[in-house]
Amino acid sequence: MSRKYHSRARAIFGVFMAVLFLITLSGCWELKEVDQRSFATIIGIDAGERGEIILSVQFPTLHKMAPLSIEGAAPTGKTFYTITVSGRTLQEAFGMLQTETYRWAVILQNKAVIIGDEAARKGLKPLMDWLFRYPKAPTRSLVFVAKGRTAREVLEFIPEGEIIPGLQLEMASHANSNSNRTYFIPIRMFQQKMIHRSKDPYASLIDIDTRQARYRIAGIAVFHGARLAGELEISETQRFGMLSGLLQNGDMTFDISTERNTQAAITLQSLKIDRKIQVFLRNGLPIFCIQLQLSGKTLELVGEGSLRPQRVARLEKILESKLRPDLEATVRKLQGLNADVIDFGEKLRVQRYEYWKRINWGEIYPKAKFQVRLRVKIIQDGTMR
Amino acid sequence: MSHHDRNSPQLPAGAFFALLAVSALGVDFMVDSYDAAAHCGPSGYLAAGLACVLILPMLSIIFLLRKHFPGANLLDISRQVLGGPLAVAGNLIFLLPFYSWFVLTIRAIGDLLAGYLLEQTPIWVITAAFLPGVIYLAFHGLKAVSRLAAFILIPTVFIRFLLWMLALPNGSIDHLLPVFSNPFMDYLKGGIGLSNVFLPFATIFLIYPLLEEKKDSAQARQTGGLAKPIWGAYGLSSFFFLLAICETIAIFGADTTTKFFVPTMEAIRMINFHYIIIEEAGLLFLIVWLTTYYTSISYYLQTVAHGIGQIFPRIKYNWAVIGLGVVAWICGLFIPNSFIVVNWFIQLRKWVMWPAIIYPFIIYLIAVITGKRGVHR
Repeated sequence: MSRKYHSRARAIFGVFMAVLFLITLSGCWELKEVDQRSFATIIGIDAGERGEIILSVQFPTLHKMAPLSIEGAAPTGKTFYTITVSGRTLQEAFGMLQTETYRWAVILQNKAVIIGDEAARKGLKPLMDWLFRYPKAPTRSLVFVAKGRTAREVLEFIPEGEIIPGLQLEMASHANSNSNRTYFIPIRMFQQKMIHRSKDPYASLIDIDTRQARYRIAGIAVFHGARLAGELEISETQRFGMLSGLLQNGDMTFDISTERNTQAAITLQSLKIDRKIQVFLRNGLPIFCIQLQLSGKTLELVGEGSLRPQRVARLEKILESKLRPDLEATVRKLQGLNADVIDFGEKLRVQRYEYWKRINWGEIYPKAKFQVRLRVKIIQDGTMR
Repeated sequence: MSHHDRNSPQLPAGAFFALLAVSALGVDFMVDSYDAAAHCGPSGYLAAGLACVLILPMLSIIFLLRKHFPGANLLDISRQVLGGPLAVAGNLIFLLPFYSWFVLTIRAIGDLLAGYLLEQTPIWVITAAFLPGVIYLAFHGLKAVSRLAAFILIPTVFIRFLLWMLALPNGSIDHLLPVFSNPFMDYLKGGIGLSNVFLPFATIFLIYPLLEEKKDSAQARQTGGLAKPIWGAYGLSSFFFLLAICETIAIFGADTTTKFFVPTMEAIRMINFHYIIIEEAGLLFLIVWLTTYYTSISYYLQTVAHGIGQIFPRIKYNWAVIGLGVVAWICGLFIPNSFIVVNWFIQLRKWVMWPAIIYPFIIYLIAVITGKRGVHR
């Protein structure tokens, strides 16, 4: 009797579990078919005139991206569309966006977040909270600042030859040709630099070239806390890469002209930087001693003769003397903007922790002293001597 | 098979090791790095290292108790040493941390899954869907739980290690410096607070008599074969514990680490898989972690239900499992919001190890003083 009772109880329990799992594991509650979803590729954020937030989101039009339609002809028309809405907060704007599309807007696969110039200058804290907090926010999306424009302008622009602009922006971050002309930063790292007292965030600066119908990378935007403090143009961004140690594999053309030879220039490729920063304290202020060793291979040499060992050594010296003031000028510019995007504060925190605990880095940074020591090494001369 | 057979199997050393390792990897709830950074800032990993050391006395009490009472677990020993009512109270206090952990994390898992995976689904549905599986597994006793643990150990450890290696390039060594950023007392407090990750090792007090005894060497005879599985699980869980803390702080820095609800998962989310179908490494990690959590929480439920059955022999094990599971579900749902869950969980992590360490120590001390010993099987 007891065995029979147990086997019946087990069977009932088994049926109950099977029904329960059939109902719950199918995921019906969350079911949204792919054709019912719209996958955002770029999010644009602007500040409105009355303090509202303007959100522009770009979605690909999937059926226009198919190589051939059923009739055999290639589909025509825009391969993406942009919806622009506004709200008091970013999430409210996103909620409004849902009312303008019959599809479920999904941002998890979003590739880029572009912030309008004015919105960035007003401060990002209230704008970015949703992107930082929402568990399904695209934490690896790259942050861009629109150079002197609104994000909406950038999103509504149609670049030539690109199927999905959002993917183009992301692919740019993998392109070697951009490796030292701008520096890309994902949302989570941007947030991290915004939170830390010892650093300030930066973001890639994007512009549009209306004549050639292309996006243009224009250096980096630098922030003081959550506010856009200024911009570094491409040559300054290259020097920022050296100072911050981010430079990994770039190329750069240097002016090596002298009084006798006014047209000389050298281009080095596969540039690598070794960086060491030491912090000393004097009269209650930190002194940062930045030691850089830049190495690269000769890619182009204009206005100079053949590269003999003595000449290489002389070129290295010329390069050092020309580049050092530029590096110092970049540091001074960042100091003037009170934007510690090179993370000097982090070095101070690590090396002088007791001092760090007592100070307000935002007040000390503009007064700190910096010394740049540079050594250049040309390690190869290409196919020609 | 009776519940006694199901809960008193002879566990081979491998199953014993897997059970402990999976439990330790599963119940951490991915919040160790928060505790480490909150206690000791950038050098929170030192507190974690100290926690690994601070747990050694508890592990040594296991060996000492096993030597004194080879065939009885802590609940039996306490009856012999303390006597009736005192032993009941002590044993309940010993089991309380496991059940509290069970209740709070059952609710927290609902919040976690609702946040990252199933945002449309109500929490009561998520926990209600999750709980029958846990009850089912615990219902089938220690043997079923240890088998599942042994089954999932290698894949979960492999995937977790792989994900941590993939997350490594996002870290910066500067975030882990300076090495000594806090006074020693902070590290000590942090170490005590962080020792909660080793709570599953306190269950050894209840299951060590079940280990298959090896008589192949003098050392194995002396420790009852406990040494290898315990030190193996301790080494593996300590490694992952330190790896998670070091990498999370290295990736985010101490300040940002303390801003997240589950920083460990956020650190894994930094992995960038391009154009691969699994774009979200974080979700992969969550699913892998969930399997270890599922096993370990089933083990906790089994431990508490079996313990209750031992303390009150009239209570049937099967009903204890169902009752404790349903009560945990209802209690979890009564907590009004996730902020309270997070705060209570932080408080729980602070004190959870005290009963697990102090109670066995008191029992052992009294046994030594009164000269009470168990008999060999």
